[in-house]
Amino acid sequence: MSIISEEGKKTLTSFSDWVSANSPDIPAEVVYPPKKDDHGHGHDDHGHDDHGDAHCDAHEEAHEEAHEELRSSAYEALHASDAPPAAPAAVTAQPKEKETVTEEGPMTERTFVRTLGAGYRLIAAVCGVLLAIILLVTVAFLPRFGSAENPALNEVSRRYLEEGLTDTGAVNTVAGMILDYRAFDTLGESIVLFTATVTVIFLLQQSRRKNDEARALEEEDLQQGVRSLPARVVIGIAFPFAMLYGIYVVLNGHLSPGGGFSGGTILGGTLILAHLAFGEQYTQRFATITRCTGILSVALLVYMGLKSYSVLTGANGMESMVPLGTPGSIFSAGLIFPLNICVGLVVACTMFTLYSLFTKWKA
Amino acid sequence: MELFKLIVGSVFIFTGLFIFGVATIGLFRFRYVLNRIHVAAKCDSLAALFVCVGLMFFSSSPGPIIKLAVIACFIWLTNPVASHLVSKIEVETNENLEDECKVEELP
Repeated sequence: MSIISEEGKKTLTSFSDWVSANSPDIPAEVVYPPKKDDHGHGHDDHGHDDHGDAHCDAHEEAHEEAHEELRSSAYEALHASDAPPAAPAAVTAQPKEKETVTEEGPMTERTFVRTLGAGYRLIAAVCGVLLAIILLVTVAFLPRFGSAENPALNEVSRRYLEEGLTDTGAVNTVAGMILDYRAFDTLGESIVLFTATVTVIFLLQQSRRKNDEARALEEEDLQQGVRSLPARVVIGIAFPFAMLYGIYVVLNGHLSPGGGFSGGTILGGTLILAHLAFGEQYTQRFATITRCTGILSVALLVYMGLKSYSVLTGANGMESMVPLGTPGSIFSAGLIFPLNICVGLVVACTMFTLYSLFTKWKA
Repeated sequence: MELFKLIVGSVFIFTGLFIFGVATIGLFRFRYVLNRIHVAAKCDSLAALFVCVGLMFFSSSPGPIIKLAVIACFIWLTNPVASHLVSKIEVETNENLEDECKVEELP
């Protein structure tokens, strides 16, 4: 609980201290075993102070400043691999937070966090060993790898090609595969995109406030778009057609090569093009970050709702309520048509959201 | 009539291929970015137009002809603009531009 010690200064230059100094929500004790106390006083202080400070609103502002300072200097120290810049900032940062600690009962809190960390490690070890055993047992029952008689190489692909049209009603066998037989897999892929978007939002939101003079100039460019007249004219002509083509590829996914992923990429790329050419003030009228993440979530939920029977039965294809229709017409192939739209929306919104996040909030 | 179509179409396609070849050689022979952009933009657009026009002679129904015309229009719209943007960035950011070519003051 004291001001940082000499060893604290020394250890702050290492990466682990930078991490513990930068993550106010994760107590350092959980990340590092308490046994390494001989060089661990530095982090103990950090983790605890951050923890105690969470209850104190009055010092929010001071804490923010001190933390910012500490963060930047620790970052410099990390890159210069030199101790001096980090130490003074750490010392100045400390006194502001000292009085918040005393009233909270520091010892009980610390022991609580320690037991929590030990419990986490225990549970993690048990889960890891269990998972390894399950996987090893499963591998023992698999056929030999790479053998030409494996069912995965013969029966599965033959069934997809022969029965695909009658099972799924999709003329495009690839669409039938990824959105009917393997819809579970496609759901996972869509969730990967969703997770990427959420992660980028979390990571970039922290550095949103940093706005200096150089950013202001770039900001103007982002607002107004590119200043070249030919580019603006041509992109203005091409934008609706590219949009239309993307929608066509998405809607025609079960009839022709393409589908949600390719069509969604075209739509997202077109939105990015419009953002580049006409600036944020133009794209904001129809596609804001909030709206895009909303559409993304709703499309993912609709996908899950439509395909939940497949998920519940372990992706073991069941009869769906939707009639398959005549193969080759636009309203056919049962659920593949709406699922394609969902995937297309997910991909397009992910692309555009990532682009506008990275241009708007620089890390 | 069929023979005429075949000959004219072939002439167009081979002209296009010749221009493509010239462009490829130029892309490797020229040393500076602006020269290369010049080759890539102009020759590619022209060669693609020739190939599209040549292919029009080989199709009998109007569908493919319209599609080829649209493709040619699209290439002629977008390719020059893309090259224009790249070369604009090059002119604005390259500090040794005087060594590569004669520079007049931009308006």
